[in-house]
Amino acid sequence: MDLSIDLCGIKLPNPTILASGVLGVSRCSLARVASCGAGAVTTKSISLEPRSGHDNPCVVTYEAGMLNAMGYPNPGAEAAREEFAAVDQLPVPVIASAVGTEPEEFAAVAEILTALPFAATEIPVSCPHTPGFGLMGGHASTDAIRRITSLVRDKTKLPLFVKLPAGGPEVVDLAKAARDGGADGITAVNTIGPGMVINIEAARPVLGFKKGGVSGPALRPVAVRCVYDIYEAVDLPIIGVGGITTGRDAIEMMMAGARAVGIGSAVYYRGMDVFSEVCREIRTWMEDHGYESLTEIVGAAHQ
Amino acid sequence: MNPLEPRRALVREKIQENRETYSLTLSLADHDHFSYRPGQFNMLGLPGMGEAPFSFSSLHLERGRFTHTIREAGSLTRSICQLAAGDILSIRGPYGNEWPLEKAKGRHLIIVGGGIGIAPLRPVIRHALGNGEEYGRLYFLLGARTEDDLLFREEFEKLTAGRDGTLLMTVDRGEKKELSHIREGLVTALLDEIDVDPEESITFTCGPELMMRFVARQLIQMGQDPYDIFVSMERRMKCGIAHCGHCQIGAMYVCKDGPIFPYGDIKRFADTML
Ligand SMILES: Cc1cc2nc3c(=O)[nH]c(=O)nc-3n(C[C@H](O)[C@H](O)[C@H](O)COP(=O)(O)OP(=O)(O)OC[C@H]3O[C@@H](n4cnc5c(N)ncnc54)[C@H](O)[C@@H]3O)c2cc1C
Ligand SMILES: Cc1cc2nc3c(=O)[nH]c(=O)nc-3n(C[C@H](O)[C@H](O)[C@H](O)COP(=O)(O)O)c2cc1C
Ligand code: FES
Repeated sequence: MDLSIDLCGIKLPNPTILASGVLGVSRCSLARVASCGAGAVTTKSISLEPRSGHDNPCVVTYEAGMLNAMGYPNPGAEAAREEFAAVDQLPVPVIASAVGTEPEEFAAVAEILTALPFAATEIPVSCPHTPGFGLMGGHASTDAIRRITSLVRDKTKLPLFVKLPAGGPEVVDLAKAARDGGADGITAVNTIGPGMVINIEAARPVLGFKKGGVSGPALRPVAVRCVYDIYEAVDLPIIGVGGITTGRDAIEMMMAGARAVGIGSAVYYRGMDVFSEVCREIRTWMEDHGYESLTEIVGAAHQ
Repeated sequence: MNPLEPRRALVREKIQENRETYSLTLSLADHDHFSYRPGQFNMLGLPGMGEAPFSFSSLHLERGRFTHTIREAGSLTRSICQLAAGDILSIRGPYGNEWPLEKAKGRHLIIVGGGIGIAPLRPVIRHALGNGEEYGRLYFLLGARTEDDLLFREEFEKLTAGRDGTLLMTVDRGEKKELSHIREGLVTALLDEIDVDPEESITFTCGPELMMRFVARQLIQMGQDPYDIFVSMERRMKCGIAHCGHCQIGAMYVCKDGPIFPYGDIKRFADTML
C-alpha cells in the first residue's frame, strides 16, 4: 500500500518524520535514520553560535514517558554549512531546524540554512527548558510568533514550519499567528512542561538542569488535542508530534488532522527501526479496516 | 530497572595512582544487581557538577565492587577524585560494548595503551595473564609522559614477572634509565620489537587518538588487518544510550555501537578525527 504523502510540495515516501533533537546532529546520522525507514528527517536545532548545552544527565525516563533538558547543544550555523552541504544526497527530504534567542537570530540562522539543499525549515518557538529560547525566551506568544515567523519568512524560500508548544486552548491563536507571519505549515507539538523527576534516595532532581521537557506516551493525548484544535482553526498542513510509538498512535494523530507524524522518544523505546515498524503497522491497520489511502484518514476524527 | 535512571554508588576505597589519577572502588548503594564486561563504561556524576563516561579498570565484580580509574581533567573529574570512602556519587550504566576477547582466542594478543588509556586495558591484561593458555604470545606495550604516569606499572611488573619481553614501556621523559623495559620515546617504537606475525594476532588499543592512529597505521603496514585492530574511542556524551546523537563518529554512536570499534570502521574518518 502506498503511504507517500505531499507536504507543502515535498514528496515523502511515508508520513513518519524523525523529530528534531533525536540523532539529528550530522548528515551521516540522519542517513542512518533514513535507512531505517523514516519518510523525512529533521536536524537537531541549529543556533547561530555553537552551544554545549546543559550539564548531564540530560535525559531520564519514567513510567509514562521521558524528560530531557539537552539545552540545544549544537555546533552552530557555520559548522552546519559544512556538515549539511550535501544533504540532498540522502534518500529522503531533510528538514532544517533553526533556532535563536532574538527574532533576528532565527532569521540569520534560517538565511544560512536556506543556502543549503534542505527540503524545508522548521522553527521551534516552544522549547520549555532552555533559558533564552522558546518558553524561557518569551517566544510562545502570538506577537513573538508573528514577528519571528515573518522575519524568517523574508529570509527563506523553503517551506516554513513553525513548531508550537504543547499548550492549552491558546495554541489555536499561536497557530493563527504563525499563519499570519507567513508559515506554510505547523509542527505540533514540542515537549510539554517543564517537568521534574526527583531521585528520592539522593533527594535531588535527576536532570542536570533539574527541569526538562516531557515527551513520549504521557504527551500523546495533549499533542493529539492540539493538532485537533489547530486543524479546525487554520488551513495549513500539520506535522503531528508527541508520544507516537506505534502505527495506531500515528493513525490517531492523522485522524486528529496531522498530514505527517514526527517521532522522537520512540527511537528510545523501539530502536531506530521504529520508522519502518510504524509504517508496517499503519499498512496492516489500514488493510484490516478497509482504508485505501492516507487521505481518507487525515482529519477523519472531525465529523 | 530503568537504564536511564541514575542509581547511587558508594565509594568503598580510593587509591592515588599518581599526581592526577585516582582509582575509586565502588559498589551500588541501593540495588544489588550489577554486572559488566571489560570495555564497557559507566556514567558517573555528582549533583550540580554534571556526569561523564568512565571505563571499568577492574576485571570483574568482587563482592559487588568494581573500579574506575580517573584522571583529573576538569571540574567534574577533580571533584570525583576528591571523594572519600563513604561518599556517594550517581551512576548510570553499564553502557557500550566490550573488548572482543572471544575473537582474540587462539591468537597473539597485542595491547597498546597510552596515558589514562591504560586503565580500560587493565582488565584485559589481567584476563589474558589469568587465561594464558587461550592466547598465543602476549605483548603489553604501554606509554606515558613520565614513569609516574605509567598506570599500574608495579602491578603489571609483578604479574609479568618471569615472562620476559611481555611488558614493554616507554616514557616521553625518562628518570630511572636503568630499567631495561622502560625506554624513552614513543610507544609506536615498541611495535618494532615484538616478534609475532601481525596476521596471526589481534590488537587492542586505547589512548590519545593520535597515538591510536599511529599504532594502527604501523600495524597495518606490518600486515595486520584493520579489522583485527580494536580501538576504544572517546567522545563527549550526553544521553549514553544512542538517543541524542552527540557522540557520533560518522553514522556510529560511541555510546552504543562503541566505545570499542574495529579500526577498519574508523579508518575513513581518521584524517578528520582519529
Ligand atoms: C567511553 C569513555 C570512557 C572513558 N573512560 C575514562 C576513564 O576510564 N578514566 C578517565 O579518567 N577518563 C575517561 N574518559 C574521559 C572522561 O569522560 C573525561 O575526562 C571527562 O568527561 C572530563 O570531565 P570534566 O568535567 O572533569 O572535564 P571538562 O571540564 O569537561 O573537560 C576536561 C578537558 O576536556 C576538554 N574538552 C571539553 N570539551 C571537549 C570536547 N567536546 N571534546 C574534547 N575535549 C573537550 C577540556 O578543554 C578540558 O581540557 C572516558 C571517556 C569516554 C567517552
Ligand atoms: C532528547 C530530545 C531532544 C530534543 N531536542 C529538540 C530540539 O533540538 N529541537 C526541537 O524542536 N525539539 C526537540 N525535541 C522535541 C521533539 O522534537 C518532540 O517535539 C518531542 O519530543 C515530542 O515528541 P516525542 O514524544 O515523539 O518525543 C527534543 C526531544 C527529545 C526527547
Ligand atoms: S551520547 Fe547520546 S547518542 Fe551517544
